[in-house]
Amino acid sequence: MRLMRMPNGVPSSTGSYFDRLEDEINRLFDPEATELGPGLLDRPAAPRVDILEFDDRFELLCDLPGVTDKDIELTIAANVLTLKGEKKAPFAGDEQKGDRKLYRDEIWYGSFQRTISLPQGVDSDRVSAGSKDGVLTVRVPKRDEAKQRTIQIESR
Amino acid sequence: MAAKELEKAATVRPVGTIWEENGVVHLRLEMPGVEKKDLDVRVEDDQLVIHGRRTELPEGARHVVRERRRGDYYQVYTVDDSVDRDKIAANLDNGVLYVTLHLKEAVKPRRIEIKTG
Repeated sequence: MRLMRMPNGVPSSTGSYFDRLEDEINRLFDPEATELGPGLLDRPAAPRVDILEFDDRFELLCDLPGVTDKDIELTIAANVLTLKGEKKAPFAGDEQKGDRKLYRDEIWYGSFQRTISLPQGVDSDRVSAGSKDGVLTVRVPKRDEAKQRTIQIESR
Repeated sequence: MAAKELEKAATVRPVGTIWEENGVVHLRLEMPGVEKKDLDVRVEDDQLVIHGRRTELPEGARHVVRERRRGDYYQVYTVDDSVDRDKIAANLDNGVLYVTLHLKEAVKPRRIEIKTG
């Protein structure tokens, strides 16, 4: 187990203290944040995603800091979206030149893959993706018939 | 001072790599989702404070799946006298923050020339 340095400001309320405790315990079992890495089960790691629903579309968000677009592969078959890629080692292509001293290395790297089944009623032909600030966003528009409509109530 | 801005929200510590090379300490911290305008890197007395604010949920959206860690990124490092405070530089690229801290000449390891004769 690693010892974690607390920020100098100790949280003032007990509420935030327990939030933090929960967070630290979760972190112990989080392969992304510990040294266990993907080698534990020898399969590609599944990056965490958020899926947001808007009136006209879904958006899938995935944190991939430092991963360039060309190292991400996004495919769609029927209603199944597959996100694949490789996160390069921190010093990849930059071999040790002598006096580099590593103090802390918490970064997970290796290949990753995640498969997501899209809900019914999405238009898989119009899926688009972009990345910004290390977050990949995949936009999946809904088909017109799946969009929520307001029905006018007519009084007689 | 630093503690005050934390009272409201839960924060996460950014994970990263820290190394020293040629008299420069490098910090490489992963802070996905933080824009340059929402990032605050400052030196306060003997503390290097790094605070990256993440934007809230966009309007009209609701979560269907929520697995990513929430909260601002926050980390405080103690900077001692061996670091040249005027030369601290930070760069944000593709969700990764790079900070370089130059060590003062006096604390760099120095090889002493041995003369013969």
